[in-house]
Amino acid sequence: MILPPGTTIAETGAALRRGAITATALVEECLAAIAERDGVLNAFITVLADDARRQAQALDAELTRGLDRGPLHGIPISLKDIVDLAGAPTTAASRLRDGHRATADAPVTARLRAAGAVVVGKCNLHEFAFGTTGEESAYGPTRNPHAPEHVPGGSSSGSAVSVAADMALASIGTDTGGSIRIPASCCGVVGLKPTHGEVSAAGVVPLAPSLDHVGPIARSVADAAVLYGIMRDGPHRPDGGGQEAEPPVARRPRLGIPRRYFLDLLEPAVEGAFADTAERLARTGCRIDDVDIPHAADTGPVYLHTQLAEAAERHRADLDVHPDAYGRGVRLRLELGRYVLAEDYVRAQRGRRVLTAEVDAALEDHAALLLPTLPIVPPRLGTASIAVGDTTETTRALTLRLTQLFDVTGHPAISIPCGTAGGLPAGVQLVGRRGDTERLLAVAAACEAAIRRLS
Amino acid sequence: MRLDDWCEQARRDAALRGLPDLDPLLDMLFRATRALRAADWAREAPADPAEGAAGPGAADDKRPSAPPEGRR
Repeated sequence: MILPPGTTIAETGAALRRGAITATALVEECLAAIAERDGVLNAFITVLADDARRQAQALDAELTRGLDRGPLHGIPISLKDIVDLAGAPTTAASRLRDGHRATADAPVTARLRAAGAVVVGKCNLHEFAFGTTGEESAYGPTRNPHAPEHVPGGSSSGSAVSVAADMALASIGTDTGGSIRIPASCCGVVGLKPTHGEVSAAGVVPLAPSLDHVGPIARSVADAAVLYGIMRDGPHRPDGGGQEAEPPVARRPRLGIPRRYFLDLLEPAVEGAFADTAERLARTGCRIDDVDIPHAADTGPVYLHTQLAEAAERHRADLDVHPDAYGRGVRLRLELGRYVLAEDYVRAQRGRRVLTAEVDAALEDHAALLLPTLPIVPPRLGTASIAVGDTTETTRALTLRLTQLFDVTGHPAISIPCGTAGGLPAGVQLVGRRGDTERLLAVAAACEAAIRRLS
Repeated sequence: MRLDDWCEQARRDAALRGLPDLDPLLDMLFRATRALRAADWAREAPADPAEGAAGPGAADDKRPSAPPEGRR
């Protein structure tokens, strides 16, 4: 280990610039971690060792010549394998994509590479990003680095694992119902879903376009902020705007806990970890009170009718021609979407407007909402349903329960680690105002510092 | 279309297409659809005549008879 665990991208960049390390050494360290652990964890579908080495050498030479691309210069990252990288396959973890090779970078990939990021590989995922555990993949299941018999969360399973297991310093994932925040929580890392539409989803295999978000998974809020600043749409500022070494930290933010529905169904270990986190935040000066989202319990049906219909429409032709190329579970869920009636899709869009207004109202006097990311601890692989108290739900429904609302409404949301629940990583979720992802990052930086200070 | 009719037709269609495994998922979808149609903000839509005032999807009853995906 050439840098201590927890070193931020800014600190790594500083070490690069003073010559204490090289981009080449960073890439070699990531490749060594992949070689050592990926046989068990299965986080990568494609490892790009030769390309990464070549790019790192070129970026080291640039720094020597005085050419500095900014905070991502020479930083090794990974991409969820639904994001196009020119010359590499984009498998979406499906046999349906066998033989695919991207002819161009997705805009988000192009931004990151232009900023000096080195892509070490493309990460495993739940097939077509249509699942929350990382188990259904044509390339085999991904495993949790903290307990390989447990799921890492999905669908950006390999991305979160690659960061948690030091195979990359950061990764790019996507989030349609929670697919960045769920694996971030399960793996003990940070996952940011920006405001809907802020980061281009072009060149990214879609699942349900009106719900799809692209965002970073990273070791810290500061690292997520660096990536977000580069990934988001809009012109790059010549002063490196949006690429500051460290994000601002909010002082004494006021947080609202949407208790009803969101805290109604939690495993005891999660309930304890969340209560402990809220208490820590209050002790460090955060002002915390309750808020209400009156129709939160309607989120599931609204999400389901939107997501299923849009996904089925995207896959219609392939379902007819190559049905057996899909994994069984994903195929069935896609087929299910073909039975959503148009009138119910329209109703769901009306529900989205209602829910969006209610989340806006809950945030009117609060810097962010505070709630758990998951109601359960990461389950063992193969767990179809889970009993919480006297309620039994499918694993899929439980994992989506606390995250999907903010895909439906498009509000920015981030999961940050808050210790452990049942011996496995747990995450707390912060939700910010629409169009103000930067403010959410500042609040998240303050909360992360408070949680770490009192741990 | 009345939801009960649609439910029946969907099951038949899935069976004809060799997808009997869809049955439990269709159950879940139709529970969610009932809940969606029963939501108070959905009242602008015409009521489903198959579901009387005392039925599980009645407009005044926001709770489905069993929890659909993502609901308690």
